[in-house]
Amino acid sequence: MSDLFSSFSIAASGMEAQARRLRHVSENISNADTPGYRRKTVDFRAEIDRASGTTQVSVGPVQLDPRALPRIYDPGHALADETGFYDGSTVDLMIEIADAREASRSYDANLRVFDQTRQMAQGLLDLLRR
Amino acid sequence: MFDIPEVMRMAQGMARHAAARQVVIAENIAQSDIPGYRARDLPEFGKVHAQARPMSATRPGHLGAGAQHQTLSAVIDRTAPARAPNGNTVSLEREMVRTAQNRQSHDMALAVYSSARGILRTALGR
Repeated sequence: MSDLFSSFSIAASGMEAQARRLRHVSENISNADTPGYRRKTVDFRAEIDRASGTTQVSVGPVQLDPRALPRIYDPGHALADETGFYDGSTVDLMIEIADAREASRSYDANLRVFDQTRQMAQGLLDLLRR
Repeated sequence: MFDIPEVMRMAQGMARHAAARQVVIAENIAQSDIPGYRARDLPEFGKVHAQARPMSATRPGHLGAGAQHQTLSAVIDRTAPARAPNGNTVSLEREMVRTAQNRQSHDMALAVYSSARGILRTALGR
């Protein structure tokens, strides 16, 4: 039974990590047109839970995209300098959408494991009722 | 009559194996996006059970007499089909197949256990 409980927490850690990733993706998408915005990413790490000896997922610190900001030519823009350019954001919508798809697919897989583990634990408890 | 507890013990071992395997599958799926992670798996219950036949212990003090609950360790799955560009070998589809198999064997273990218990109850006349 304790094995099944640690499956719950592993699947939950996976869902939490993917949800964090999805959160940063949505921040990136909503700031796609913010001048000077750098794309935020997080990386995942394997973390050993000492209590149960299982490997869970944890999310590392937020990292900002180190690439140079693109220069956009728009002399009428409020932030444009004397040459008519301003700094855009490093967000590429195509990449963000692909990242969001991947995150939601992984989230679903973790959720499926969670549900299946729940059903297995339920089967075990049903033995006691009979 | 005395065979039934052995059957129940085997069913118990099978359910325990399924629970341990569920942990390994959950770990694989949770880490499916970590670069360099290699998918792992447990050996099948049939093999484990064949190896875990305890040595005949005629006294409780003998070595191996309590070796029923050996812990299983997961091994790296060398049959993983392809490696992602980031070095990860987890395939979500394969893990889905494994969870389905695992669910089946857990259900089977519980069914065997509960039917053995039913027989035992009938034998006791209750």
